[in-house]
Amino acid sequence: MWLLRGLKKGILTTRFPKEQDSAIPLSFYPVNYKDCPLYERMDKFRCMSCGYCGQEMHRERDSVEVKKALPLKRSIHIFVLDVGSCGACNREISLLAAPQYDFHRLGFFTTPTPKHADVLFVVGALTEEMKPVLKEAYSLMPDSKAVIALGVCASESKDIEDIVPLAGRVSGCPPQPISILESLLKIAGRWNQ
Amino acid sequence: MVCLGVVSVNLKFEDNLPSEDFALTAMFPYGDEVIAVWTDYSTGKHVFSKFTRMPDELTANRPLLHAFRNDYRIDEKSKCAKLLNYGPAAGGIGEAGAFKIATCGERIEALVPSRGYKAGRAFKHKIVKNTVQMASPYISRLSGQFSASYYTLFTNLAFEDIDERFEQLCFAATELERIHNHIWVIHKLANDAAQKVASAHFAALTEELLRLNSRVFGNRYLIDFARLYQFGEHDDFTKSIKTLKTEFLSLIDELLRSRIVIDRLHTTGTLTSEQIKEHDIMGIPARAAGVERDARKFSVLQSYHKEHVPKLGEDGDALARLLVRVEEVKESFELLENFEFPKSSAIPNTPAEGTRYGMIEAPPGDIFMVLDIVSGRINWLGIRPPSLVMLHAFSVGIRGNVFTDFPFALDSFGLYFADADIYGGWS
Repeated sequence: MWLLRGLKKGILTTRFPKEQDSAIPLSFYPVNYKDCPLYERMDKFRCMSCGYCGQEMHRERDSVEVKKALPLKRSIHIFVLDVGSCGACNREISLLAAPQYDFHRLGFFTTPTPKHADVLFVVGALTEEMKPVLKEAYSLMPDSKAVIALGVCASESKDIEDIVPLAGRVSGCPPQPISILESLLKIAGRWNQ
Repeated sequence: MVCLGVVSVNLKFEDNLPSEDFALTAMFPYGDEVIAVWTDYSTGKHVFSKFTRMPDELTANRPLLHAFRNDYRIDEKSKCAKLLNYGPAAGGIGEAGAFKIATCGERIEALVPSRGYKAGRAFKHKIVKNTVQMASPYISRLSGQFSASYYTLFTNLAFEDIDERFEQLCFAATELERIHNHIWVIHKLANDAAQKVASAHFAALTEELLRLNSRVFGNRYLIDFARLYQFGEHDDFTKSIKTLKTEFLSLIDELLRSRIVIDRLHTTGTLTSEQIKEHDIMGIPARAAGVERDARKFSVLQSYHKEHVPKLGEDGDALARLLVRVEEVKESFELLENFEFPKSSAIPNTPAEGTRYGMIEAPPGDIFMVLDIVSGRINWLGIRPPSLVMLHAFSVGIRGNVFTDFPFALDSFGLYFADADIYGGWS
């Protein structure tokens, strides 16, 4: 009986953003970004946390940068566009609806069409084939709208910024659902921490 | 696909086509020629053929060639049927990939995958000509859902100094990967069958598994697991595995009591054993149709799977694929219940030399990889990802089903376009 099972299991949903959730293991990042063997210039948004720099790694929150909140007061609808991801970021977005996060309780919903979307999540390293798709998806979105690049591949991609203006980005390979939730709260103007 | 050009790899080629015991595993361009790779799943033997021109016998009798050449066509359709393109930004697929579908309105007469939207991802040129050490982080990121499998296969081929501690970690990581992928497929199938509460429970279970991966191996998707392992926490691993296993068994028992789930999956996306052999399909769909194609017995981790007995189904439909996954999850949990972590990780560092090839059983099916290493650098890399074959299998199994069966059939294969678009040979 699913009802009894759910009652027995209790509430799994995080109290975030009211308080930080210590049950969520944070991602590993190096203690500093010098000596990266893969890139000359390295910072948190470009860091894949691969550990090949040989630096000590410690757990910290993904970085979430949002330039300006949307002037919207109600629910936010999100269109997700994969422009060349490995698939990990896609699943992190899907897990926003898992009981532990339940982003619906905060008024965030995904939509299958950009015409109904306020926010465009872009994931992946942009491929040639997806450039026109990205351009069209953005053009179909009604104003006011915002584009957030999720994860290292999208955050460091200058090609994406050449096509659409970025309102925000989230670090991580992949960025954790809790960090993606933080970006939504910031874009909705509801981040008080 | 990128041609090899002047690169040469050291492989022994057979003069004749192999017997019917061999399944076509991969095909790579090689200058003006083509290399075909064949596998006998009963012995684990791989053989190679080289052609200047593809023999007519192969072109006619091996429909999987269309997947390698990406030259699918819908030639036959009824008079009223229209062709519709679905993707690459369709919410129902969830990734940058598409399908061409021939339909009169309800029944799917034919369907072919339209892939390549992710083929231009930048990682490939960061792998070839790079040292095997510096190529490793990119190998781990070729396919996020099967990262541990790709990394394990690559390192076992590319390095000489693989020690037992490292192999133990590879084994644990690949089994954890199998569990979270299979449970995610079950979550999606429950969601497709409108069992939203059940689907939420499986999503919650997946989230707990990913958190366990992060605690122990430093990354939710086991990306760079060997390097980040040293920073993780391992003390509660066995207890966590037992708790998650109990939860899984209880959830799956409840889910399979639903007639709605059974009815929606039964006879959906069916592949017969004859179709499996005709189309050279392997992995979960093959085993679900009763065809024993499982690379664990001869993979790079074969010493850890000596007692493994492939889980077989009968009907070859989406339900059979679900049930095979359930049995595999149970086995993986049992294997991990008594796992003892090594005290350190011992990451390999000495590159191998020459041409090496091998297979590993990723969650949906096997990955085949061939590497040529010269002076510690990757001279040539060829990969046949499992999702390429799964896409082909889906295109065969979906024929004759109605539109509402589409998500069940698609999700039951556990395929990813990111994985399928890795396919090729790069120099």
